[in-house]
Amino acid sequence: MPHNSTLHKVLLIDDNAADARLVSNYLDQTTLIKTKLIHVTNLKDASDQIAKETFSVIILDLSLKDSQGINTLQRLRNLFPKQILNIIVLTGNIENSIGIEAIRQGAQDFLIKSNLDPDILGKAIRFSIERHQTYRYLNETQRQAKIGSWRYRPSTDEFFASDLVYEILGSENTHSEYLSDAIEKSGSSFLIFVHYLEEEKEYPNLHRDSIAKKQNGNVIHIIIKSERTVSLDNQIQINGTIQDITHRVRMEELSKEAEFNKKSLEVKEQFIANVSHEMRTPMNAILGLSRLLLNAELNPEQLQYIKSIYESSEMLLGIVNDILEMTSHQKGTLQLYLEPVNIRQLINYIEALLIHKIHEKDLIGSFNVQDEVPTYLLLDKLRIQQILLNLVGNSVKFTEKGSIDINISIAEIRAEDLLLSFKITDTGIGIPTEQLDAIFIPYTTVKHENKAYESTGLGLTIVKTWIDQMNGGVEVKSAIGIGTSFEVTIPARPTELKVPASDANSSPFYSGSYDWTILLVDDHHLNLLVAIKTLEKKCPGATVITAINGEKALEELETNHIDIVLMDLQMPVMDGYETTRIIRQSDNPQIANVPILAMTANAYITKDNSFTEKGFTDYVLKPFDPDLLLLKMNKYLRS
Amino acid sequence: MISTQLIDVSLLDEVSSGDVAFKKMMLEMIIVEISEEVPKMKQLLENDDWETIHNVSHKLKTTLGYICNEDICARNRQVESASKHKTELEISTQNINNLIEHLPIMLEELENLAASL
Repeated sequence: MPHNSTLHKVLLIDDNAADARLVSNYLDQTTLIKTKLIHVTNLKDASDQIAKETFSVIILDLSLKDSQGINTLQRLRNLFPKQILNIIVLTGNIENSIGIEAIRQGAQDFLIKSNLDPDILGKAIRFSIERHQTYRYLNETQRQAKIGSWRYRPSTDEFFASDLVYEILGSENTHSEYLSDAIEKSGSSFLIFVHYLEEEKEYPNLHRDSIAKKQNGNVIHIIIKSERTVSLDNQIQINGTIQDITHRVRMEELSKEAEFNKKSLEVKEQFIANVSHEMRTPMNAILGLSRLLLNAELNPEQLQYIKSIYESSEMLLGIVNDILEMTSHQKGTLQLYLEPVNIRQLINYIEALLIHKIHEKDLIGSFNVQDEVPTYLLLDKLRIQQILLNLVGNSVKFTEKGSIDINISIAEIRAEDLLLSFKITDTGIGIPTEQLDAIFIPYTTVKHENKAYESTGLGLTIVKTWIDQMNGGVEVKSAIGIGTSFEVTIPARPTELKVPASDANSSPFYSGSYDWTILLVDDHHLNLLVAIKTLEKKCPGATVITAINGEKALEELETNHIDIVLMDLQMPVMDGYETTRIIRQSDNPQIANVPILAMTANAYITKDNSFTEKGFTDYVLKPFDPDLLLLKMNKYLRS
Repeated sequence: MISTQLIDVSLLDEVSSGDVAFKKMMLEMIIVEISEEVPKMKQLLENDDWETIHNVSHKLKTTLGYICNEDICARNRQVESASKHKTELEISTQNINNLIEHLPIMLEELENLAASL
């Protein structure tokens, strides 16, 4: 067998110079392995040498000056308990018994001096190296898997356990040869074998998941299993393994715990969501009935009680709605829906919704979309509405005097889209600087010295979540006593309006985009909302401008090119009749001749043509029939 | 079969065009409005203030049109018309009382509908 070019270091421990010379000569002669021989004559020098360098094999004479017999092997191994030494025992004894005993005690092979020749020595060294490598590999994989091996002979109580068995059970390797000895030296942790073997008698090849106590008292999870074999000397031998699975069990426990916690959280959230949902119906009843009682004949004390009930109910309903919204966010069930949105109509819509609240507090409200902002943008309409309602609603809530200004402009023009800026500025109480960072954190409410404002602390969190979802940003500036400014920036792509087929079909006259500018004049906020909604659906592309009385309508007519006016009749400040009369008398022919449709709930207007005498072009009855409204608008505009 | 429902939201459905959020918001605003406006009529009736009753019933006409059955709407229309011309005021009184009487049921139906959206 030709040897490869690897040079193996061999340590010879032999105090007989002639034997050492012989071994050296044989190694030179053998073609089976290439070696470099280091020779020492006693265990102490051997120990120094092994400490200095690594040897592929150690050839150990059992008869040294400082150690005699089989004990020499044990002493050498004990000098390096952490290393697995590849040892071939060299003996002058021609009987095999000493050699066999040496192998039982961990030697790889034994050689009888009188039988040596170059081939025998070469083979023994080469095979021992290969076996040793396999053994080390096996040992390493067992270590990684935390599997220790053991064997036991029931007839003699003989026992062997690998280093790893001792390690797993938390004990020093005592190299015990009998189980009783191992228990005595290594403590009660080895009793696990007694219990196991007791059971194994009845159930051979037993596989048992068990708990063991290490010597230091720590509890570990183990798998212990074995197989029965018959040894060379015809004895029953139980070969087994013991595996430390503590880490795996802990990981499984942690995983189960995490799964349980996740499920518990889901159940808890679902429970809160269900309870919140169920609370809404009775809350609405409490709110409705409280509202009725507020109008009943009550003494001041009773009125105060009912007001408290009403306000508390309103707040509770707000909390419930916020919790439901947050639950939806946490479940990740909310998704953006981008569609072409007429930004000017959207702002009109917000204005119609909130202007009454603004006026109720004698505040000045201004809603502006800058001219450079394209009319149609791809946005999630519902979310933008909710963001603005929330932020402007907050401004109304925290502003006692002054104004609220809503301004929409372009913050940045980019390659494929633009950054739309929604700036809401109020002259309210302001937010303390040290609290600005916390306003988007759930359940955080701003604390003011002078006045308590009830809040769930969820509104701005929800707004921030939506803004994040749209890849937008929000910046807040505030000064106590001066006011607050929120600037929300949302990426938006300008778009041409694409009229959906179903919408186009719903119009019997025109299937494209409407470029009309419609002035809607009504003091009734419900009517404004419905009219905006109807026009949005029936006249996609049209711009709707709103006015809440005749005076405001005249202002709008002066500053905008209006194609048609939808005029309510009964309004405060200036009614529809007076407004129409003034319009018809205008020096500006474009204003004087604008088509005006009277919007009235009075069917008597249809009895004669008196409405034309009053300057109206035609009329539409309220509540609107959307198709009829469109029919009439088409009649006067398309012609 | 005669419907026992006081509310009829078919017009509201039509203007909402499937926009649930809009419908819900409208319902909530309508609930606020009628729960504030209808009870006012009781005091106005006691004060014999038919002019203001006319204004209130006029305001309510559009609102009720979105959510009420024809019977309720017709009663309000009668009040609006009679209060303007100061005729048939006894019938108007009955109709106003009827509206006030039915208000809690209407509110309950509306609130349940809003809560279900």
